[in-house]
Amino acid sequence: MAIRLALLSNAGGSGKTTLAVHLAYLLGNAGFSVALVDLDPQGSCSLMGGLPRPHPDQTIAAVLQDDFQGNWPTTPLWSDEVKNVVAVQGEMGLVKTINELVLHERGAYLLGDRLSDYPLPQDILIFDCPATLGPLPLIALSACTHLLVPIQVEPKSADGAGKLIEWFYHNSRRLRLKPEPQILGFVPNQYDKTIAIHRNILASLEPQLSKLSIHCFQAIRFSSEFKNASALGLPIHLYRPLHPACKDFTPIVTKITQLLKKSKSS
Amino acid sequence: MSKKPQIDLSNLFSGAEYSQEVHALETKITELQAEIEQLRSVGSQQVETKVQELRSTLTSGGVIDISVEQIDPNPDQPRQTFSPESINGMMVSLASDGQQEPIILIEQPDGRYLLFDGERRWRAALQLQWGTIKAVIIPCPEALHRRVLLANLHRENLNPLDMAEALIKEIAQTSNLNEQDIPRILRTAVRRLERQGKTNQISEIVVVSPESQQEVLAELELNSSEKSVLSVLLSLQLNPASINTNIFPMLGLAADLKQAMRTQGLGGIQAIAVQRCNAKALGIKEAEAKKVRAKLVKRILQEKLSVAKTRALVSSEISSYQKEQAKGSTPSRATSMIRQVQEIAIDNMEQQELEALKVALASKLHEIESMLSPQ
Repeated sequence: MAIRLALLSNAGGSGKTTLAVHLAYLLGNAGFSVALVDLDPQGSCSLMGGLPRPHPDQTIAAVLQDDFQGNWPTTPLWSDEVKNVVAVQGEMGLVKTINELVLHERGAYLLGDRLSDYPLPQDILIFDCPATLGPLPLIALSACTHLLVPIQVEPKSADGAGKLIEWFYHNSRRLRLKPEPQILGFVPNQYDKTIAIHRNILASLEPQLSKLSIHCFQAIRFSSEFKNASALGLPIHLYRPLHPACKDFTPIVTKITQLLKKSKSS
Repeated sequence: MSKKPQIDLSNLFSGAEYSQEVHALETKITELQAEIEQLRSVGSQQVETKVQELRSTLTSGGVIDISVEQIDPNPDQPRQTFSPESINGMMVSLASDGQQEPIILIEQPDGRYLLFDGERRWRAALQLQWGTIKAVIIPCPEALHRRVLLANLHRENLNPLDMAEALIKEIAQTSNLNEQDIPRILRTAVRRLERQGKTNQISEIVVVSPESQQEVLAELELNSSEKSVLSVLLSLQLNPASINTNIFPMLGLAADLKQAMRTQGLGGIQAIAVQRCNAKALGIKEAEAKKVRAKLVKRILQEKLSVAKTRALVSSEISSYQKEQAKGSTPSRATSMIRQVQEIAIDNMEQQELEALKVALASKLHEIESMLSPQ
């Protein structure tokens, strides 16, 4: 089975979409086929991937409809640079989906159902979720094999991350997830070492997570080049290939690559 | 020199730790239970080792005496026949050596227990007319959540706001009351008990058995909602009067103060004191009042002010604003009229009503204008 990686966080602006887009590019560049699935009604993956706004029936919302026939609406990303990365775009229609999920008899499991009925061919699927822990993150949780938690090194995001872990255990049990998704790790984001509270939180985050046996990846530094790159719909690696932040993603990509090789060989 | 920004992550993550612990324990118990059922169904000899493992996992939760009357045999027990000889043998052993191993029970939502392991010991205990039998308990999921809550409640650094929210959730779950009604229900009950001079009877039963608590509660004139709120609190060994005074008021705090408690470690009683600095008391806009509160919170934290000093600081802040207000104050009759006009709730009004109101206000405005500048 493909690796299905859900990016979850319990606070806005924690860098989910940025991480999702960059991982999609880097894993594609490493030779894996990738599908980036945007479960956020804001559809920010489209912006950061340089795609035009999708037609409402060409989005993940259409996949979650009962009349879905298996024709996944995939759009190539950065096709000049990589050949094997596609996006399943999200948009405002997902707001309606949220309400439908609540009433649907398979609501919490719908994404997993679609993927087992009509599997995507890619090696890895990346689910980008909205910030609020509602029905959409829940379908990502029940469909994923692994979780990655981006966390901004600020009080609000740290608080949210603690609650996210509670949410994770509560819902893994409630939804009877078997096997349970694995937490791949936390990714500290937008880290600025000149800011005291950032240093402070980062320093206490790692021991805190290790108590819970959760891995803490190397922090991804803050840089306004991320914003500049996203305005052009590019990952920073295509916009400023020599920027020091490019290397910050390496440990995560290495970890996922290991998983992918393991799952291919087994 | 101002204090460096500090944040106590271990506090923010304590809930996460508890949920992970409970989850791990529950997973282990469920796995062992399933394995044992499986081994039993194939009649394997390994059952005993697994049962032993389950028993020792559960023993960490404590061995307790359970009334034999509260135990039901398991209808799924594969071994349905127990020969009188084997029961007799067990009776002899229990009578001479006592109970060596606790039996394993599954807790039921109705408060009774289902036998998982130890039917022979239980039947023998019944025949020996023992009142209770030593047991370890496989908790039902509800009880596990309660255990998390309990562990959390008696944690030193739990802030009163988190405690209030956890309690409200627990009460709402067990009683089907609306979350927002619970503080009011408790307040009404506590005030009535105070008037009747019966608060002592409540504080005396905080640490007695649930049965005795129920007996006392039954004698007080409480309606059913009040009774369920009080019994949840008492069953958690909390004094309802103190929850009413010290804990539930946290729920009414302004959002900025809740935030300060959670992320900066502002004390609950300090937060309540600062809450007095609201827009109305200071005679300024809410956004301004928020700034005043932020300034106060910063000072309280930096100087680690005691409750008494915090209260004094807040009072002097309020009186300084009130003096200013008095200086530039509008004549009193107009003030109350202005307030009435400002407070007209127009959110839910019909179009027609709004039109009528507009006409009335416009005509009054016209009158005022003509009074101010007579032609």
